[in-house]
Amino acid sequence: MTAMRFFCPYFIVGILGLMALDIVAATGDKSCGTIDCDLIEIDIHDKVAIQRGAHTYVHYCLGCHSLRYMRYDDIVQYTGIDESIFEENLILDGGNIGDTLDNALDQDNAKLWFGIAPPDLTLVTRDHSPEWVYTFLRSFYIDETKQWKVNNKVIPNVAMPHVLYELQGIQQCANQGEGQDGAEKNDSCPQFTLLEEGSLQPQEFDATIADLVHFLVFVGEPYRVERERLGIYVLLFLSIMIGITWLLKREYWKDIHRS
Amino acid sequence: MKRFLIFLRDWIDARLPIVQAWDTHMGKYYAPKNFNFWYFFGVFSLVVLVIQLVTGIWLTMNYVPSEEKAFASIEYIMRDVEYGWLLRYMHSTGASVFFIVVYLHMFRGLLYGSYQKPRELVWIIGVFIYLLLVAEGFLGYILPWGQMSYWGAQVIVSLFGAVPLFGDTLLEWVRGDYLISGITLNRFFALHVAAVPLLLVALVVLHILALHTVGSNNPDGIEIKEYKDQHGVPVDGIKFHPYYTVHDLFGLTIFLFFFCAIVFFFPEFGGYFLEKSNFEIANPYKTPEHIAPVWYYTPYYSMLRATTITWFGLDAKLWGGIVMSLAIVLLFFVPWLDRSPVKSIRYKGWASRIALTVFVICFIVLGYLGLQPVTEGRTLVSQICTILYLAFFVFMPLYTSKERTKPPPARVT
Repeated sequence: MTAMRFFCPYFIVGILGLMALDIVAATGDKSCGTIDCDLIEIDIHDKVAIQRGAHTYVHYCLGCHSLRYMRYDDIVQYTGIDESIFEENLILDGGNIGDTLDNALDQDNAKLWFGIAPPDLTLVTRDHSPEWVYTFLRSFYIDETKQWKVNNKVIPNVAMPHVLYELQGIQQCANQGEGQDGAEKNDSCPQFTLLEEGSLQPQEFDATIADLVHFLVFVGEPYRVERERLGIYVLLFLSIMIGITWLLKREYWKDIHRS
Repeated sequence: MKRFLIFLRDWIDARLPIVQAWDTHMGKYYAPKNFNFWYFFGVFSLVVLVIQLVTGIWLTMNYVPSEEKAFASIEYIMRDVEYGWLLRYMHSTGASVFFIVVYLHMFRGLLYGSYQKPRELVWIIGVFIYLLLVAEGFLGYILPWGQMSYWGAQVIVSLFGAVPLFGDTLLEWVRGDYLISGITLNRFFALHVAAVPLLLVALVVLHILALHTVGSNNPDGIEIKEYKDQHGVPVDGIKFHPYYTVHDLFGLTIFLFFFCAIVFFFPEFGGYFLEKSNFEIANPYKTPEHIAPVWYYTPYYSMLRATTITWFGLDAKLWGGIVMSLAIVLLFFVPWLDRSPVKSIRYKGWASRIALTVFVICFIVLGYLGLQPVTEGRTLVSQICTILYLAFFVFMPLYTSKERTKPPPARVT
């Protein structure tokens, strides 16, 4: 096809050009604040993980961080938890199943206590990424100079206390105290050691956070599974239509090119 | 039943020339029989326009254009409105895809000289459509009221402030406030859903009317009207209907396959169609570290950032705005800048081919750089590409008239 003769060189040169540019301008940005994100595989079909994540969220996070665009009902519908069990265990404020996951935290008070009002987290995995949330929640470490005695490597000087410390325990920088220079401290903290054990083993804690991230990914787009399910039918239909319209075109055009 | 339909047709036709309109634009509109791949994108843009209009109307039913409710109403559409997510993703994907097909459509025009006499007006109306599309996309982008909506608008609207003498007054007039606010959102909403779409549809109609008056160009860039049979029908022309309707239907189905693949499986398209930071509600007190407009504006955004001259004591931002505007305004003059005796790149010389290739590469590179944070090296590359972009137009009279061209064939190949 003559058209492709034109198309291909542009495409190839364009791609090569962009690659060259990125070499020119590569920067050393970290994907998660001061460190690189830890990887996590999200299986949005894992309803059990989402259920466990919902449980953790409601008990540890919801008090401060609302999910104000998310309805309890959508969690029930998707995960298939029995409604009465759900109401008993996961709606702590006596609200209705059709309500959104809001909390009673007064924004002005919150600002006074933390310096910043805790943000709504409905879209946190879309705004940042699942990996970002996963890494953030596992990167608290002890820092006596801070208001809540903890710091975080994803958000340095974070205003949030380490809410999950009773599960994880308290981490400290493996190299803390060794580096003389205060400025270098952050860089010389490549890994953590556990200063004080929590109620969960480190692997169990990681799994709990992974479940929590699963839940937040679901909350970010509750209709994603439905979207992808429907999408397969749409694409199947269009594939058949491509065949039919091609045959139709061929039939009409039979007598054209010969003339 | 059949007799009734015929009666109805004749009854209307006696009062409104629908049969003649059908013949002029479909049944007896003769298009060259050698259209290739590039000729699909006009039809695609028409279909995307319809998708945008229809999904847009339905989105309006649940969207609330206010500072307090805009962001929440989008999430309401995504969650609580039946198939709201589908409407919204079709609309957001449609916006990006609109620019993809329009850019390819415009490239086709440059490739085969579709702007040359007698199609100057088709081209000029087309450039106006593109301008309106740029405006429409920009106005619509503020509506979700996310961080990038807010700060993107802030950056672009502030360009008005660079106008000497009355810049600040102009800026206030555009925003309707001292900063981007709910008032700005409301007026942008009005323009996005009523004013611009109306003009857009009107111009699209004119674009097609003008095209059907002069007839379609083709990859050989020769006039099929010069060879007619005894009935006055171009020998190399075929009826638009049914030949090109079934032809385009086939292309359209393939297009829709890709469109739906994005809508259903990659609606964010890696953060290019829906930017990540737009999932955070607009916050006037928190400037994002890195502000980038959506990908379809980034070639011009790069030009804006690459312009560092401060001639005549004027702000670099003003010069940037001038360069950006020039980049689009120059398109209007292409029909007269191209002095080549032939239309199609197939018969033009090497100079034209190299010029167009460099132009396209520069456009892509500028687009890419506009998405990246500024570094010294990137600014330099942007500056080179901006100059080459402008040179494509400025030197067009020269290289198109001096180069050696091949004689085009008499009949289409």
